[in-house]
Amino acid sequence: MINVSANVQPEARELAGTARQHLDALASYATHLVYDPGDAVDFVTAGIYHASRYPPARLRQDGRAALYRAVTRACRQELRYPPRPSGPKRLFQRRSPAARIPVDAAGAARMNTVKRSLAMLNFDRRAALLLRDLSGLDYREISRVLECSPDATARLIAGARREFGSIYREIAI
Amino acid sequence: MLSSYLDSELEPERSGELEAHLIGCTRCSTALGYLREESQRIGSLSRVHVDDHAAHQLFALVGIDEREDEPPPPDSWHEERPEADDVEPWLEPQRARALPWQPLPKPQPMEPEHDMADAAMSGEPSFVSEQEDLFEEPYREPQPEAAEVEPEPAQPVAAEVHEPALPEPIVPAAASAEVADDYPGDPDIDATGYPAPFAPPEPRPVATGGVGRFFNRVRDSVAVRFALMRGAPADEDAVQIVSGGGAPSWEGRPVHRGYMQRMEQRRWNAPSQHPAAHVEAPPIQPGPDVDMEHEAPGRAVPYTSRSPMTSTATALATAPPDTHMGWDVSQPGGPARTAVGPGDLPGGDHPEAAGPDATEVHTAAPGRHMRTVTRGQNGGRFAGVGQFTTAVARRTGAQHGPSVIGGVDRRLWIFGAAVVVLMLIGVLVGKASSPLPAATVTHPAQTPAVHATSAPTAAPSVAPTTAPTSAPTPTPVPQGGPSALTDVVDLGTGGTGFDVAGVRYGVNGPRGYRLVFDMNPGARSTGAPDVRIGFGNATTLYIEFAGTVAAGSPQPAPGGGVVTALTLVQPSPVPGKIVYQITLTHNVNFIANYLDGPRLVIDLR
Repeated sequence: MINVSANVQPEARELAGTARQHLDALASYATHLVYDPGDAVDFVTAGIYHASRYPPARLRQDGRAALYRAVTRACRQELRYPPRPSGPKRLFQRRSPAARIPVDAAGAARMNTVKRSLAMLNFDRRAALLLRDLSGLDYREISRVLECSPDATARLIAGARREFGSIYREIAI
Repeated sequence: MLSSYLDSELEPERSGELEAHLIGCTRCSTALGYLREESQRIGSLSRVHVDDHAAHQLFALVGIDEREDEPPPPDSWHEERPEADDVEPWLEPQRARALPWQPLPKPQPMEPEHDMADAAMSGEPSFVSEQEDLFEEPYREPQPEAAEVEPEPAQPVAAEVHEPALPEPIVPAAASAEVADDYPGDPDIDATGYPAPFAPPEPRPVATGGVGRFFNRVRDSVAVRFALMRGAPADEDAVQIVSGGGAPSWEGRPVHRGYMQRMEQRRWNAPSQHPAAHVEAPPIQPGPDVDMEHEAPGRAVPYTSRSPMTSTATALATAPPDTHMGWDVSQPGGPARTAVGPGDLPGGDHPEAAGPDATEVHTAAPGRHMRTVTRGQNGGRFAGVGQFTTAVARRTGAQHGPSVIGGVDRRLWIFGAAVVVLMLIGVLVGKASSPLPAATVTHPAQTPAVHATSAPTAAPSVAPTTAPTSAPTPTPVPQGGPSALTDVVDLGTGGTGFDVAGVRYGVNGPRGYRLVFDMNPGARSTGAPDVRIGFGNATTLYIEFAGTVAAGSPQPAPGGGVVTALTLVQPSPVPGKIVYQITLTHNVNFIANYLDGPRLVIDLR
């Protein structure tokens, strides 16, 4: 039997370092993806928590793509951490005061034409545009985040840009 | 393609081709400009900043820690190792939890002139370095020089690598001090450099308390019994429960008859695994060393085996004593037969080999207690209450044994006889005993007044019942009567010449009863006649009139009252008086008065 915990602990630190390095970008990406800074922080927290369960090899191989993938998954499925109660019983439970993590998202919360245009896209196209133009991920990383091939990622981004442009031009005029 | 070109994701050839096309195509150039603007718009979105405090708070919430400046807890067994990237965790010099032994110390850096032969010569263990090389290089040429060189036991140079921080090695007393100095480190590693055999950890201490130990023993016993009961009937001949649950009882009666019967039946029916049991040996001619007449006919045991296998052991009867059986069968009180397999027979297992007079020797019956009972090996000795009797032997299937009492269990007879004797003793003692003492009679005479309420209680119901007992000398009953009245009340003024005209009596009120004697005065009568009223006994009231003549017998008493009979006693037991006897159902009090007339009124309550 091999002591697994002895090797997990350094990986957790490595993950924490990577997450701290990309935490601002993750929070920005999630904020523009879901339009609410509070929810975005919850999703980012859930994504990092989920990424801490990834195998260390995947984290080393994917790097920040693993974090973006986990955050994208949390945003798509609205996974929060700590999880919120669900079901009818939540109506009879006293909601514990959520630990809000303070972030500086005053500018990101402000709605503008670009964000309205982004809101008209579907989730995958919006995520692809944000990943590429906001976070600066390459196609290979975006393919890992969106769980598709690089060619599909290219087509997705191209279509998203066309749609975003047409929408933006309509809204701006 | 323009989007990919914008993102620099196109291949160089395609990118060159597209650049060539963009030079001459304004439409594509315009589209590329739009795409670049849109990309810049998205990239110009405001960013979110998470300060360090919020980041630490987030990571603490998630459960990961990014702070590398803070050292881990000192007692943390999973503390970070600096060589974690180089050496596998199970090859670390520090003891890990998953390793039952302490690994070898990390080898010193290889010197340029160092080789395997030198390492082997110096006794330095090379296990770690070899393992590391194996991990780095999958294939490696064998080094016969290093393998053939045997490590020499002691090298003074090796003492220099001794690390004082490591514990002292555990060296047997027979080992020399050189070995102790030679190998400095681990007590789990012997002087040869190989890890000691894995020693299992000490078992957890079991509760040594009385109750805990008792429960542990009970639990283990039950578990063993169940395991034996499950496994023994299936395929295990060697397992026999000789005591406790599932074993034959001490008196020979099997506790689980089904189990015992199954064992016996299976033993009889199962084919023997011994090859000799399936080989028909030729008839054996008695040789000079086999005495067919050794076993006397009188010693033949009438036990009939139920298995054909048992006939294979009949040749034992032909064997002389102390030949194969191990003891002298002719010894008085000794074992009459033994359990011998067919392969142990000296002349084979043919059933005809023993001859017609040979007795059958059965194989081992399951359970030594059962065998003891069925064979009668105790020789009539008393070996315990109820251990061996004819009844037990018959009940358990034994066909022989000492016949002490034929057909009936002796203990049953003894019990029945004891019961009968006790019954006879009880009957005789009961007849000769004196009757129970009579209850204390509260005689009415003990009450001083007529109106006493406690005087006439319980006495009348007890006194008559004690008389007819069978006592030879019955207790004397107080003899009452008109001449000896108790609780006497005298009334009247001494008048004479009266006669009783009539007697009336009946229920008067809910609890009362009244008797009225009507008097007819004579011509010269004055006043009222003298009358004495008293109890002759507890339930008999007498009324004695003086100077009065009875008019006749009174009428029968009506039912439902305390008076059952009113009679005129004739002849009068008291001279010069007429006496009326009133029989009562129970003791009562009375109040008597004279009314005008005169008229005697007696109220009974």
